[in-house]
Amino acid sequence: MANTTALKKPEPRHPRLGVPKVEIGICMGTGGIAAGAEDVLTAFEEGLAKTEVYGIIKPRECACDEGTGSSITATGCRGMCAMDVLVDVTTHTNGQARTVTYGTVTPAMVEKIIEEHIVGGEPVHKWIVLSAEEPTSHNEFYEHQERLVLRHCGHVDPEDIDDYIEQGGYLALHRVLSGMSADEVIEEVLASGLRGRGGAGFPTGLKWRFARNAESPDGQKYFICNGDEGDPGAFMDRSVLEGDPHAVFEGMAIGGYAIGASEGYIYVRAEYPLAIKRLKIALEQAHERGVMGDNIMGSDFSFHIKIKEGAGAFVCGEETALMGSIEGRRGMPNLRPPYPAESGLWKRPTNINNVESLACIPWIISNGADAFAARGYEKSKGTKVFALTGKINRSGLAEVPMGLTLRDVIYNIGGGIKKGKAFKAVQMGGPSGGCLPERMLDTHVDYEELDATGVIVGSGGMVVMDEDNCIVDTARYFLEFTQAESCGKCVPCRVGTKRMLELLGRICEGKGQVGDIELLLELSENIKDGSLCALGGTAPNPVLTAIKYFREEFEEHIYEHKCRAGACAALVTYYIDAEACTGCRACSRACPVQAITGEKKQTHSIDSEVCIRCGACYEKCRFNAVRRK
Amino acid sequence: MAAVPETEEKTLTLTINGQEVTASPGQTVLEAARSVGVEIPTLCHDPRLEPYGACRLCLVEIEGARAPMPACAAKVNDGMVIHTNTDKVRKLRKFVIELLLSYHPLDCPVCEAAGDCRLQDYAYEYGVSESPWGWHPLDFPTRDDHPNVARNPNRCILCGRCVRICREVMGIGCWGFSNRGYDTIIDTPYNMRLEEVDCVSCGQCISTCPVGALNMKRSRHEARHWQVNKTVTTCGYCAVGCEQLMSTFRGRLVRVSGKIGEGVNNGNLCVKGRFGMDYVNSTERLTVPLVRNEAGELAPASWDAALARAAEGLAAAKKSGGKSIAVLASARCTNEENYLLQKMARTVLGTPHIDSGARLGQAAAVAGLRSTLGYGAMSNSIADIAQSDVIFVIGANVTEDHPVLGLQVIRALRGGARVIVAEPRRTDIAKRATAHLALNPGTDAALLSGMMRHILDSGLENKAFIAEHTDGLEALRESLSGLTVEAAAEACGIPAADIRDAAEVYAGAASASILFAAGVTQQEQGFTNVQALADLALLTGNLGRPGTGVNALSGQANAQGACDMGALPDLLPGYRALDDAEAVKQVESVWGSRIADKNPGKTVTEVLDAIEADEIKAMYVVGENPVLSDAGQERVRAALKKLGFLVVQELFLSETGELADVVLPAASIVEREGTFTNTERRVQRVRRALDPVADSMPDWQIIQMLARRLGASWEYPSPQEVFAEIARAVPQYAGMSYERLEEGGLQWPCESADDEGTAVLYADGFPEGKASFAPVNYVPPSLQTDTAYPIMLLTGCERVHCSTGTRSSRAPGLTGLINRGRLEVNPNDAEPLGLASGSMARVTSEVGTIGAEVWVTPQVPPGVAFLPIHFVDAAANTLLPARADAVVKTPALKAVPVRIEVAG
Repeated sequence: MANTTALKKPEPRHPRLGVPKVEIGICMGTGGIAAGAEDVLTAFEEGLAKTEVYGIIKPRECACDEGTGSSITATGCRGMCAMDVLVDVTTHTNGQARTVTYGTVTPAMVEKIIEEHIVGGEPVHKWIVLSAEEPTSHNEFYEHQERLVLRHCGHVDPEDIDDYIEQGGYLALHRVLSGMSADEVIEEVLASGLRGRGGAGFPTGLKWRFARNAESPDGQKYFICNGDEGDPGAFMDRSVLEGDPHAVFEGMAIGGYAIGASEGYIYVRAEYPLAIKRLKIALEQAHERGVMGDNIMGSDFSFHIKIKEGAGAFVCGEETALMGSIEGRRGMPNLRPPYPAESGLWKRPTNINNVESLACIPWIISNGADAFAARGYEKSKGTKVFALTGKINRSGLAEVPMGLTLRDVIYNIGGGIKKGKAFKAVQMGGPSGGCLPERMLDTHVDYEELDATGVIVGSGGMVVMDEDNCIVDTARYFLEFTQAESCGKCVPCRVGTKRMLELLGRICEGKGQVGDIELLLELSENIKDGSLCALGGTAPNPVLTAIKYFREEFEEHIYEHKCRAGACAALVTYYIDAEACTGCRACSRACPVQAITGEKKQTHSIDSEVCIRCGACYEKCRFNAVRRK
Repeated sequence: MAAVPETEEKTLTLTINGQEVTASPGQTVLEAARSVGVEIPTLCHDPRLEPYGACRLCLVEIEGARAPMPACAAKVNDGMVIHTNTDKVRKLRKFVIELLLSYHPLDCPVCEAAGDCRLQDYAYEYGVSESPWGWHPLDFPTRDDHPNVARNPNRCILCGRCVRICREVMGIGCWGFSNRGYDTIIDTPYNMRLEEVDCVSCGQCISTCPVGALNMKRSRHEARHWQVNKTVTTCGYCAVGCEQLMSTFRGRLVRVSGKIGEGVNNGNLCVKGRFGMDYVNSTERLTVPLVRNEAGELAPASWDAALARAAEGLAAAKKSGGKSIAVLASARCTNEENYLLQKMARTVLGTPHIDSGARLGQAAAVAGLRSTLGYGAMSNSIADIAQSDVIFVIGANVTEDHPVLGLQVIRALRGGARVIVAEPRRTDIAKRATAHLALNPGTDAALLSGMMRHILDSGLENKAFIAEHTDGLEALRESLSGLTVEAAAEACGIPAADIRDAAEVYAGAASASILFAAGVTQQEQGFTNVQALADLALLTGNLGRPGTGVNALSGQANAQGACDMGALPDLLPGYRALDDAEAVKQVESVWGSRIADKNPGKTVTEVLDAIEADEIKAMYVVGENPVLSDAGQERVRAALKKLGFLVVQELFLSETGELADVVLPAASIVEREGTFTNTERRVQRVRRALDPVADSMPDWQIIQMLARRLGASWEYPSPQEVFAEIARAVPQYAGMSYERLEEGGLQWPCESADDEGTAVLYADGFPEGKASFAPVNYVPPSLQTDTAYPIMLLTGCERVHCSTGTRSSRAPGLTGLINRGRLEVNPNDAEPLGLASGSMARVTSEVGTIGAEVWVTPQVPPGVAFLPIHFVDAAANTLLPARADAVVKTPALKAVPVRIEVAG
């Protein structure tokens, strides 16, 4: 147990002295920046300066007189990525704060917002996406969520530790160091029912206990945070790392204390430069403030974190490959046993948790295991963040209590399918998971219940597909991903997935043969049984679930050479309905190979010999004149 | 002596396919299964490597486990119930084979591996003739750019064995995985040529490849695996004594391999052992005897004529007394041959002047260790080096000169052991070491004195061990009193702190071993250096346990055996003294003949003086090449020319043979039977894999014929009978016989038929009761650099060649890698001299001049140069003055001051 005599409770070094009259928060996650948040921020700075009324006060600078000035905060992602760039504007009138959120803000919109809202006092109603006073349909996005993991994302400046501390940050670590024994910490985490959010769903507390009980030859143990988020369509870890890095550090330090490790690694894929940058800033600040490093908060517990950048291999998300990568080897999974808890990094007992799991830890310590366990369903407790993407109206990050149905998530939070198209399937858990059809949407978000359907909770990716998505092609896409990312070590994964991919490829090309479905099923079964690690062990899942729930589409491809979604280029012919065609030339301009001919205002036609079946004309036509069969 | 605690080995009981099996903790399921003859297929498994589990062929079902487990990695547990051949695992295995055959080419008719290919075996066993998903061959370019390694990535099954053996066993890492997914291939870094990526050409990657992706390039299309005859024998190069498997076909050696998991080498071989044996196929081999004719030329002659001439010449010399003949035996010949030769010298020729090539190093080690510890040999075993916590390597370029023994040091390093290397050059092992003490040449005794002084000053000595097991500490202490650690550091040219650190690390280890070789012995103080090493081990109690010891690494394959056999001027077989009447009597009774002269004879070093003084008039040289190996080439040549009569017995017409009156063609080591004694005292069989080339004959047979011509009544039908006599004459070999040596050999002392041999000497005490500390008085080398000769030239071996190159320079598998000696010069010295890599330099010492190609490299420190000894075109011994250790007369071959200039 830590020596508590000198324990210092973390306090913000620079508390906010006063509340500025106008506070502007701009989402500066990767999604926000990609949508142009940096230019929006500059536009606000310049625009406010021109008003000569609202001088910009940096939040931690002390020259702010109450009731004057404005502040601009670059926050992390708040999840509603479909509406980026998101800008919060908070105004104070008569001691009442009022916040509205503008969506899809561009620099051109900023002048009007400043003029009408900030100076004029009247929000620009048509651009509001969220507001307590005037709810929009988007309010639903948050109403069904419960944000524990994402509690600070979008609200704190991730590059300012004082913001985190002001929100109660590092108090959980303080609590642990000021009187909890390692065993008590582990008990608390066990009691919370938290299970690994990286996908496997193994009880976190149990993992910690194994690592705690393991003997190290020289006393050294390691605590690793796995930030190698690689599933296509999953970005919750990135958002946490970008938006709330200290929560992860705090979780790691608590875990390090629990298992008896003084060294930690956080392994982040190099494709997340913003996360890495913010982690570095945060780590430096945490050291400066004495909440990380030697003798944390004056206790005798020391914990040092190193940030390790991955080099682009999906398989490094597998824990043994990840450790190999930290050691400087090519990331290739090793056999287990020995499990990392016995012999992990540098052959020492090692614990590895995912980012989201660790971000739960401070909340659990601060609010108690019971509060966490009170949420959830059956054996799945707490909340889980899902990354909603695909053909859905409100793509973004949704944190929901375990036990919601998929339908709740997709329709209530996600707002249903884009353009009013028909729902076809949802791919759960990325390339290791599988797809579920409409009739399975009442399945609860629960490890066991989802497992029983053939899909997994996984990292929480939910890719929604509509009638235009071909299920065979989608299965092929995910398998292509895992095949390309196979480390090459074991034969079933390296060669088996390639053979599956070839079969799927020929089915999509209309060259499928009788018996191909059976070959796929047999390959899948053997690959699952024979592979060394979970990458190979789960790689066939998208194909298996696709066959399980959409077998008729495979059969259509094979026997009728038909792709009902029109996605398999080889099985589609585009033609123009002469009656509907207005001769607007939109299609011929869109065609990359000049396959469409026709005079202006005359009916056009497609030369199917030249056509490469890209579908560009189909997308462009506003008169439903381009058809496919 | 700390008794080795009798740990009761716990055993586990498990069930494999219904059969109850006993196993030990830590064993894998695969090991337990194979131990009872249950075969489980594997592709990525090699017992030399850590479990990998990639090929998925060895999956077995273990009751209670969720999924099939790889037998190569799963550890046994008590009560485990294992099924190795269920439908489920057979189905998975077949699946894996089908997947591999979905791209692996079926070019078995032209594949080198056919007949020795695991994939072929398993496809046959599991009846896989084609894959259900068609055949999708790969299309990678094949690569042939290494002289000995051919590579066909299209056959590769990515088991990673080549990658792992290079990294885990060799400690290098030439191979790695490139790309991901189906595009994964095995490649060198950045697809560079093997020779550019630290490859030591050991061929270990080829040895472990289970298919035909890596092949021995030089033996392609020579013979199929089922066509060859296979013979297990012992390597004739260095003294590690690796077990080799010789494959021969139609009277030619086709290829050499190791048997994985067997022999002292555990199946590993080095570049010489694997690629260096094709000298036996050389067209330069001597095929008939040569006799110098009246025109003064060596001309072919019949055996009868040649033997008659040889006998006549020796008999003529004998007339002026046996002492006028000297005999030089060979550390490259078998025990039987050395034994017969010394017996012939002592009883037939009647001369005491019998010595061997072991004089060039091992003799000093033997004498130094005998005088302190009792036995003149490596105290411990090769296998227990890796158990050391600390390994002190001094004057031994282990990873190059004893490459397979060096693997134990690499293994120890990988396991966390600390390795301290004392060596002027930055050798391979120095680069890998925890600490490198780059001492000045010839200052080893100063370093060791400094270390011992620090141990004694700091009270780090093992007082209990010293009290119980040693005598003479005070004399040692007294001798060290004259030299402070600072003075030692000054002499060695290294910081005093480094000496202290090394002393503390060595003394503080739970078990520390010393490895030394010719770098220590080929000096004016060679004998003292060896004694000092024995002192150091005694001082700290590092003897008698695995992982400890003073381990003299002998150079030539049978340097230890030559000494054991009494090919020494002062000792009879079994190291028995000539003045020990009892011993002499016993030897004479075994021999049935009298030892003519019981005075100690002359060492080979002294023989040269005696020739110059007209005392020795004839010489019989077997398998040695003193013109290139002994100090001062011109002097040696002149002395041998001065002889009235010289008989040389060799494989090739060596530089020494060219001076002979009679040259007798000897069979190579793969053409005869016998035994070698390796550096760890292990007596191992040498077996005949080929018939002797043309009219050549095994040395033992030639010696016997010549002895008979000179009047002996010897009738040894084969080396086996000679060995039986050795067992009677050499007490340490008393318990040995060819039958007992059949499997893996025995380590001496092995004194009775039920004696299992001795892996660790002194485990039960010292032969004399107590070991003796020897005083150590460091004397600086007599030759120092000066303005005329400002650079200290070191000589030694390099990885690819061996001794004077008689054999290695005629092995295309080696000359294709390196065929010339390169003078290593430090950049600081090279620049002012105007020398660049590849340019020619003239090297001059006070006794000679040679030309050599320059290699500018920081591997040698400033002021020091290095030249390998193997090449006649740049013969290092030309430069060496005749100086030797005062006690044992081992010549100081290691260092000489020289001047280096641009040639031309």
